[in-house]
Amino acid sequence: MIEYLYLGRVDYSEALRLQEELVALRSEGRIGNVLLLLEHPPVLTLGRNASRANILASDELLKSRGVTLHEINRGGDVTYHGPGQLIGYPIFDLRSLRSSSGNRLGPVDFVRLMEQALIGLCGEFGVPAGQIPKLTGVWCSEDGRVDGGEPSIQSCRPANGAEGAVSPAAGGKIAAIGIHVARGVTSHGFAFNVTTDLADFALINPCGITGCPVTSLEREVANPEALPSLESIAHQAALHFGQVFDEPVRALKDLAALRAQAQSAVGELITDR
Amino acid sequence: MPTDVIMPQMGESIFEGTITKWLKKAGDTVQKDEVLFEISTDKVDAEIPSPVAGVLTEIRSPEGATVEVNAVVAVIGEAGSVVSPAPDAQPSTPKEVAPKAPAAPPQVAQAPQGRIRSTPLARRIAKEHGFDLSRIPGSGPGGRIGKEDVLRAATSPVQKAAAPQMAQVAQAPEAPLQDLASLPSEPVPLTRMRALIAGRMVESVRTSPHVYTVYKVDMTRIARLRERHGAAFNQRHGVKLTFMPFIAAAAVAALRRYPIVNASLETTPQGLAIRYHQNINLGIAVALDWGLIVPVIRQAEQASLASLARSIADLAIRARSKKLSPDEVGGSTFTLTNAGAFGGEFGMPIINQPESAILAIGGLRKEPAVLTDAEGNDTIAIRSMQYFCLGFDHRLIDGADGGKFMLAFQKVLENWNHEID
Repeated sequence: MIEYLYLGRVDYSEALRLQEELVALRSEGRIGNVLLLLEHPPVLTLGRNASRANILASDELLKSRGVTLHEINRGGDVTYHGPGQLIGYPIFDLRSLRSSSGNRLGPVDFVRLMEQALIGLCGEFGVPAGQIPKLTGVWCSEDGRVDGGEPSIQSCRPANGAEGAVSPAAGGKIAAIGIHVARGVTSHGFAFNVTTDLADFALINPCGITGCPVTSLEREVANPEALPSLESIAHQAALHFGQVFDEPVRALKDLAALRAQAQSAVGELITDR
Repeated sequence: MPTDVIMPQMGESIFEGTITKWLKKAGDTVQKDEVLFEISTDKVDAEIPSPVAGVLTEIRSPEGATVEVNAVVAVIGEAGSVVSPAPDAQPSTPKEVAPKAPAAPPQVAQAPQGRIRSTPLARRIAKEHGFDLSRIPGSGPGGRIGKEDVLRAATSPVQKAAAPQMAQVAQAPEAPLQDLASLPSEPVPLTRMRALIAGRMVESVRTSPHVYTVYKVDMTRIARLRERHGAAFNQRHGVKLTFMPFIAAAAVAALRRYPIVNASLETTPQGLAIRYHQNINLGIAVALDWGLIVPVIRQAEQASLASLARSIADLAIRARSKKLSPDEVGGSTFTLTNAGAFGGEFGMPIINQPESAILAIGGLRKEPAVLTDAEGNDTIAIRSMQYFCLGFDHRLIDGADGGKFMLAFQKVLENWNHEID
């Protein structure tokens, strides 16, 4: 069972605190697997492998654009989060999950499944997307063609223009992924561009890759005005998670409901086997 | 005994891993589950916990090293172990963790991490007086606690105060009186495990017509064997010789003679059929704080007494710490369950589907019993008696089968004549 919650816009630090709280509760078995879905105000996050050199904008520029900076303990280099980008933080206990072959799910297997869920989500909007070996994340191909599930991007070539802006339907990375595992429980997760202002990505070399093209759902669909709200897309994302992890999906009313669950589970443990 | 720390597998097709950061260094004391190091790969950052408590005696793979999955990256030894220098350390003399040996007797030393080393005599005296071994400083090699240390501690005022705090493992602590008003006023939804158990129990009772037969077994012979061979067994195999391995072995022996008790009913296109299993996979029901689980000893018919003892102890510990792997749960053909843990005489358990029988072990009691000697003279003697209750599915096992099985089981235990090695 995956329970999910759409939280709307949440500050990055607040989301971090919430994740910590839920990771602790999950590792104690007082809640089940929970998927947090939300949006962040503009922020740059630096993962463990991050290098400040991958932030191309100066501190003043960042400040003037209202972009804050956070160093965090998840994998990956630097990435940008902002309005119009669907953030998903699955707080899952890996030991409660099984691969399709019935084996334990390792953290990397988990990442692959997350990519699958997001590829499925893209499919809902008629956007072909896929994975690229060695490049974690979800990618859309330049000409909309996908061969055998992999987009036809051979390498991340520099995009046009000094700003690094991407031309329409030019393909690129539509979702970035980075997770942390502690006590067998995952945190952090994915950032899926819906109507994200891609110019903001010019502030960085996303994931430490120079000139890596970035794209969004808005850029890839034929009819961007017809895109539903972020919240609506969040619900669809949750359903795709359920499909890929082969678990029923349930919407939580609010955080209070989740916390109440934790309270009532005092002393007892949920072990999904 | 030192424990290897190995590189875990991050994904099905991932065969190596890179250590990005050590959070502990050689010589550090570590708790079980405390984070030792971190692996980073493919946008995943994972904290890897320590499998046991002890001292990190050796780090074989430093930060930045890429090692194969399952390769040993570090070693954790017991408290007081000698520490090897880190692979890239300066060539200096290895640090030696000093054993706990205080000068003056009435000193409460810090509880040593990891297993407490003590002589059997020291343990017995400590137990008799209700002393907490973790609070007694040992003056033997490696901080080992000997008889003198315990006797010295017995006269220390601090120890006397500490004594009442020692938990008696055998008895269950009495539950505090509940303030009824503080119970939840609204119905509490079932947890996942509770719901699963509820469903399975109803299903089992609905499926199998349960019949019970109760046998009283004279366990005196086994009790004496335990007393005589227990210490040597423990030394040799690193695990206590409890009654459980004997009971398991007797069950396996009886199941080999009466395979119908090890069988299960299956639905085939022709209707119900009896599936005789090629192996005896013994399920050992373990009560957890949060529910119950049945880890399995596969192919128990091939296991020696020692191997049964080790498996039972190991599975129980890992069941309680949630460390069982999927192939250790499920697939049992016959289950043992303990109905006497909290003082009961015997219990009438529900069959663990799709098995056809389950054996509940009752409480062990010292009782007066009538013994008849070779000439037919009766005497009363004090014997260790234990009830065993077999619950079985009357669709395929009749009373006669159940009775014969239990008779064979009882005979093995009452006439145990196999070597204990």
